[in-house]
Amino acid sequence: MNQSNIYQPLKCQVEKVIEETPAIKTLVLVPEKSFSFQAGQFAFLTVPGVGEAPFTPSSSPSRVEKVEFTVMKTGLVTGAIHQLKPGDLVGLRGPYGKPYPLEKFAGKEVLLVGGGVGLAPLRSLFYALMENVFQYRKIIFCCGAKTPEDYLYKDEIFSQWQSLCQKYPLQFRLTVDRKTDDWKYQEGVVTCTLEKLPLDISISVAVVCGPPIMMKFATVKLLQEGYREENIYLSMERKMYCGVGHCRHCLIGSHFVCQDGPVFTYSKIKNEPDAWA
Amino acid sequence: MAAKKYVLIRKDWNNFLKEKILQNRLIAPVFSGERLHYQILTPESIDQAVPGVVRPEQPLKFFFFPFQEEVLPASFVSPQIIMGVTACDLAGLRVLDAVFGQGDFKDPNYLRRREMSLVISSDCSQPLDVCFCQLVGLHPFPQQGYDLNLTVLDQLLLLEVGTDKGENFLKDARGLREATEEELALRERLRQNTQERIRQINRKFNLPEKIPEDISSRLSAQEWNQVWQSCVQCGSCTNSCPSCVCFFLEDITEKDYFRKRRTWDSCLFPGYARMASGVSPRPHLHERFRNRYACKYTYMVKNFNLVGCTGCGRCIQGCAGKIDKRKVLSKIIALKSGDVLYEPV
Repeated sequence: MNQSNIYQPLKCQVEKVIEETPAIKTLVLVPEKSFSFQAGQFAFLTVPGVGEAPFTPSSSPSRVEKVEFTVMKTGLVTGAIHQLKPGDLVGLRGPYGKPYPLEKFAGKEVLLVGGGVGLAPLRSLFYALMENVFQYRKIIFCCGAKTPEDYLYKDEIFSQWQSLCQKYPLQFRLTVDRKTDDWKYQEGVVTCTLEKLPLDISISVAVVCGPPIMMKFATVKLLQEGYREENIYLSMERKMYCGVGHCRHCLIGSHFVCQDGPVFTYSKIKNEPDAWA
Repeated sequence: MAAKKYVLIRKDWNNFLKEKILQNRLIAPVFSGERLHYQILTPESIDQAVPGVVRPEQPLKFFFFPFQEEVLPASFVSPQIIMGVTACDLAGLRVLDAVFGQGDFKDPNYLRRREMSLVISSDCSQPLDVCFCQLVGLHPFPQQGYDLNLTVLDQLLLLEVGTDKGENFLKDARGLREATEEELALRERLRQNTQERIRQINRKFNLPEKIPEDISSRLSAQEWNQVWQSCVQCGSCTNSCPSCVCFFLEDITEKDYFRKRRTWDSCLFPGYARMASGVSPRPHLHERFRNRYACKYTYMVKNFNLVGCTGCGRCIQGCAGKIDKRKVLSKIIALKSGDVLYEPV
C-alpha cells in the first residue's frame, strides 16, 4: 500500500461478479499489488466518482492475489457496486482494524453465528480456521437467512463445506425464517439454532455477525446459554469515512470501530449507550 | 534551562514582521467591528494586528484543518506565521496534533502545515463573558505548545521562547533585549488579573474547579432529554470549536486518478452517523447532544488523555438556541452527583 498518503487506494480490476441473491453480489477483485489482510479486518472499496464504503473481505486471508467482497445493495455506494462489471476499476484501501484473535481461539470450541450478509466476514474467518482446523476442538457454524434463496455461498454451504464435516470436528446448523418445500433444515430465526448446542460452553467462544437486531438477540441467547461476556465476539457496523481513527464517525462510546474493532467482545461495548444501532 | 525572555518595542516587532511576511503568510487577530477575527496581513496592514487581547471569533483549526480541502492528492501548503494564538486555541491544537499527527496514520496535509507554521501565542487580557478556560484546567496564558509567546506590556512586547524554531525566528530581530525582573513581575500581575476576571465571570454558574470527566455518564437518557433545551442542530458549536475534528470524505475521482475531498461534519446532524440502511446509533437529538458532551469531556480524555473542551466559549457565543454550556453542565451536576450508568431509553 502506498504509505505516502493515508487515503491512497490500490487500483483493482473487477474480475468476476457473482450474484449470490437478488440483493447480494460477490465481487472478485484483482489488486494491482498483492493485498494481505487477516480475517476480521476490513477495507474500503472506492467506486470512482461515487464514493467509498467499508467492507470486510469474504475470501480466504491466505489468498493475496485475489480478494472477494460480498456486498448487499443498500445505499449509494453499494448500489454503484452492484452496477460493476468485469474489467471495471475500483479502489481498495486498507486493511484496517483488528482481526479476529485466532490465537485466543486455539484449543477452544468455536461457534460461528451468521445471518444474511453477515456470513461474508464469517466465510473469511471460516477459511482461516480451516487452515489450522486441528487447533480448535470443534467448529459449529450456525447460519440463517430469510429464505433459502437468500443464502449466500450456496455451493459452499450446502455441498462443499458439508462434505468437510465427515473429516473434521465441524458441524453446520442451518435455518431460514420462512422455509420452502425443499428446505430440509431448521425453520426460525438464527437464534433457534443456538438451542442445545453440542458444545462445552466453558471452553467455547462465539463469533456473531449479522444485522444489529440479530446480533442483539443472539447475544442475549448466548448469555442465557452460559457464554461469558468476554467470549462473545460481535462485528460492529458504523458509518465510517477515514478508517484511521481521525473522523470520529464510527465511535461506540470512546471505541473506534475502525481501529479498535470492527470486532468487539460483548463485555467491551455492553455499557456504551449507543452500542446497538 | 529557563526559557529565554526578551523585550522589544512594538514598532520594531512590526518592522521585523514586515520582513518576514515576504516569505510567509502572516495571520493575526484584527478588529472587525467590536470583534476580533484572524486575518491574513500585508506589510501595509500589519499595524492592525492586535495580539494579547482575547481569542478571535474563528477557531485556530481553520489554518491547520480547513473547512474543506482535497486530501488526495495532498493539498498545496505554504509557510505561515500565526500570531496572537491564545492558550485555549493552543489546547485545541494539541487535540488536532493527537488526532492527525500521532499514531500509525498521520494526515499528510496536517503534518505539512504543522511543519511549515510558526505559532506565536499571546496572553489573554480581556476575556469575554463566555470564556471559561479555567474550568477545563487551562489558564488564560499559554504554558506549552507555542514557538514564541507574546505578552503586551503597553508599548513593549515581552517574548518568551518556547522552541528552537521560535529562537531561530528571532535571529535577525533588531532591538531585542533580555526582559527585566520588573517586566516579568508585571506580566505575572497582568496574568493574575485575567485569571481573577475569568473566575468572576464564571462564579454564578457554581461549577466545580474542574469539570468532571465522568459528566456524560451521570444522567439517564430522560434527564439528558431535559437538558438539551433549545438545540436546533445547526452545527455552529462544532464548527466554531477549536478541537472538533469530525469530517466526511467525498470521492471526486475522475477516470482512474483517485481524488478525495474532506469537509467538516457535525455530530449533531441527524445524518452524521446514519448508515446506508437508514439506521443511526443516535437517532434522537438528546442522544447526539449527549454524545457531544461525552466526546469532549470523556471520550477524548480516554482517546488522547486530553480534554476536548478548551473553555473558549465559542459554542456559547455562536449558539442559535442560546444554550450556555456552563448552565447545562451545572444542571447536570445539580441533577445528580452520583455515578450512575447511562441507560438508553
